Amino acid sequence: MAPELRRTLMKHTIALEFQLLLRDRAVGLAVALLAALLIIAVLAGRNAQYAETAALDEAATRIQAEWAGQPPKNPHDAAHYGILVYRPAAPLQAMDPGVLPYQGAAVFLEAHRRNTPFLSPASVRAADGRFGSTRLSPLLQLAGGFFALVIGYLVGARESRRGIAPLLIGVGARPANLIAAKALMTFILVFAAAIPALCLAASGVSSGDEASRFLVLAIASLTHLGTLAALGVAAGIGFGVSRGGLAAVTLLWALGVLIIPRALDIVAEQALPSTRTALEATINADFARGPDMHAEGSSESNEALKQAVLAEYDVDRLEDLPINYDALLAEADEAYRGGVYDRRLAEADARRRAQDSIRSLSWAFSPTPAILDLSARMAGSHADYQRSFDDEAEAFRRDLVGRLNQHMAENSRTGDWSWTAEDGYFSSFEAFDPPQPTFARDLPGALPAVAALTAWSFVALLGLVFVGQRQRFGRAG
Amino acid sequence: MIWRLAKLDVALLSRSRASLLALGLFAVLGALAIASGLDWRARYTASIDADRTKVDEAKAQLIAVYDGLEDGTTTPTNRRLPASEWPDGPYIPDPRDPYVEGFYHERLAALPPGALLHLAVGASELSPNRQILHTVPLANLARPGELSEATNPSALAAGRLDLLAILIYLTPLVLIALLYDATARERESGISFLVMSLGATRRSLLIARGVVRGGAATAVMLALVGAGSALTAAPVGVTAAFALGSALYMAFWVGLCLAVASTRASGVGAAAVLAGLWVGITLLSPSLMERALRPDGLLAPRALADAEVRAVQREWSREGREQARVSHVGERFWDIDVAELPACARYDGPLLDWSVRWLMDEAYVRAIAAGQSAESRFDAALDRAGWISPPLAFRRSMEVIAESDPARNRHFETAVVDFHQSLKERGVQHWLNCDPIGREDFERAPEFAWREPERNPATLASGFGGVGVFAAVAFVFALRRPGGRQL
Repeated sequence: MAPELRRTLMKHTIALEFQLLLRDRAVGLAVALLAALLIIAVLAGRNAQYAETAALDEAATRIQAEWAGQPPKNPHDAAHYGILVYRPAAPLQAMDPGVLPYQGAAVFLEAHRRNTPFLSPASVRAADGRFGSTRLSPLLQLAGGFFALVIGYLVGARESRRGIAPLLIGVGARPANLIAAKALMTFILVFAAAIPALCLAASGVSSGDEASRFLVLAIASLTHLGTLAALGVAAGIGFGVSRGGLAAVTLLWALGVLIIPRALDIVAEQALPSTRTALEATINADFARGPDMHAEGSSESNEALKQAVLAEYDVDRLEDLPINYDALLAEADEAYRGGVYDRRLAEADARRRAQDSIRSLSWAFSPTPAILDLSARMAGSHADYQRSFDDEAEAFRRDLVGRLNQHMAENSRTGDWSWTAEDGYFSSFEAFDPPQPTFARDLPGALPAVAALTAWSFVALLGLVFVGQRQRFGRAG
Repeated sequence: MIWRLAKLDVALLSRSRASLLALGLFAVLGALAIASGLDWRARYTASIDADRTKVDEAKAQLIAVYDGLEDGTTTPTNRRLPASEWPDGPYIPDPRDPYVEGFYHERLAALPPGALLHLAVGASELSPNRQILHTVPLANLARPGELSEATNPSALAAGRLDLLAILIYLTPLVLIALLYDATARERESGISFLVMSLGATRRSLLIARGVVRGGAATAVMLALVGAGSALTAAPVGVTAAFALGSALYMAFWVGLCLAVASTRASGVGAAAVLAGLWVGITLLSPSLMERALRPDGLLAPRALADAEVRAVQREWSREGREQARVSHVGERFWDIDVAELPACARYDGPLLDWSVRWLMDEAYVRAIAAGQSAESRFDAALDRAGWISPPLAFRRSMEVIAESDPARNRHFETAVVDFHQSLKERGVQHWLNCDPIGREDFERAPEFAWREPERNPATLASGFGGVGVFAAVAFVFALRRPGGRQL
């Protein structure tokens, strides 16, 4: 066939598909509804995020003021009095809160202990439904993805269902053209629903880093929708004549998106068990072997430290030291315990990552779990961000307690617990202000999901090519 | 006729591999979900047991001090002496001293697993299920919104695949797979006139299909609920209520499938409509309803609780005003005039400490109560309007039945606050009366006793009523008579 004729046929086929879609009021209504839902999700997400951030910001400001305004006291007492720090909002948390609502948003920092975060926003929401979400990205991937798949299926199966496929072939329509036109029209429909909300969301992006994140998220989301639309078209052409085809496609989608990832979570939990009780027992066993500031009685570690300090200053008694030994012991206690926490929590985190790897096997069954992972990473609301907040809080705690112990060591004598720091000393401490995660840091973690999504888009493309080559479309009906 | 059609449908169902596969999938995933729930229940209980062991060990150490006192081998450290005058060697707490006892005598407050926790995990993962208590300020002990056990963050955010999740999300799909072509099958196979010639009507066919296919799925559900309950010997009444609620929810979906089928849509058309309804009803409606009813700033009172406490502490520490504040606390909370206390009770350290703790706890409890109050109002709003979303109403009512609802967590929090207060009061009374705590008193000290709250009837009514009304509407629509008797 001459290229000119081929192009003309293609144009006619596209025009035909476009007219058919324009006449389908139900599809138009569905697109409008989805678009409206996504726009509402953008606005509601901003609003909810603002309310939550405002509460945590106010708490952080007030706690910092209380810390700075505390009356003169012994620095180690101040370290026990401690301070609370609050998790800053992740870059695109309003679009995808990821795991953050289910993780503690505050940490109590005190001497000798690394406390776990508490105050998870989800703990106060009576009806929190974890299988759905009203934020833009999860809604786009779940509702939008399902819409793309079903619309693709119905568009793909249209001629087969009506039994007019042979008629179309008879008037010269080429199966490849029809398939391409159907895929193109489905993409247009799906993108028409998604793009207004994405544009609105883009207007809230406030920095270059956020813009990069948003760009990747938007491109990946559209790729995901396009992939599902293409899969739907291929399935519609392939199984359009089957009465149960759509029900089967829906069931498979639900299994891939909702059931298999959670079933794999169960497998991961069983294969790599991790409990806080066991972790605490391990940490406490390690603590028993190190220096302990508040040990009841002497211990080998405390004695060893004492002898080392006496030798360093060439004195026989603690009372003769020019510095406060209690503060040195406190610092040795902190250093040892910090090492224990680092090691044991790194082990627990490695286990968490291994569990995540098992979960990511679900990407083989559907592209949606992959885009959900990518979305959380690009929004900065992935488990890695929570871990990074926890680590930053711990670094802040060690610096704070270290400075307090140092101040006490240098300005008081051993056993002098009545000594207090000078007026205004506590206000010299900066507030907790961890660095925001950067796009460059988060991007590598998202690459496996990008690869999975790319692989799925090739699968969808191959699916279209496959049904086109087998001319199932032509034989259908 | 219905009976004959039902028998015919049983034969069709037993030969349909796709239908049997859908039912098998339901059974297998349901069993997996129960296994996962049982594992969570075991971890939940183990975390409580671990803390109980810790507390028992600490108590045994104090009893050992009493033993030592009785046989003269132990001399506890006298806190009334300056630390510089304490003897060398380890600090030995004196459990007879109410102040010291309050600090060292730990008590465990535990929220026992709900009757059907393993079938509906609910809010049990998101809030503490235990609290080790002694008489230090509550703000130093309580960690609201701390996870009760370590759970993978992504898995936690996705939600546990418990039986309730299977019932909410998968069961409707199984029913859709079984019933989407409840009448289209005969029409599209060209045998509708044959079936009608046997005396079948659309209504009788729909009833027969609904009974057989809905019944098959319900039988699987009942087997799963029964097996799940039997594994932990759950009370029969609770199990029956859970099964009844689940059956009602399934009836709603059966009604919806039949209603769509009754419109004489094509098989594909009915499947498309039902798939859309499934996404809209199960995935979107609960989140949208929850978001629409949730007030902003729900987290604020709890987030600000620690700042409130610290403000009290700072105010208290203002130089030179401590004694006046002790007097104020004595009058307001203990109904005493501190100046008239016997000398043995006027020892400054504990009195100062207890006074500030009382005020700190007052601020903390006030903040937590404000948070609880906002959360309860949100719950009440969901009870009033949440029934509009059947899955939301169903989930909330099943969590109430399973005893894994957020209101139960709040009740536990209140019980912890009350018990902590009783510990403080007991210590202070001993102190103010210069009454050392004897061994018998120590060993008989009250432990935390959990009293299961009444199940919230409004939540149950919202769940059962809402789902029941929608199910009835769907059935009435499905069994109406427009279009005559044609299939």
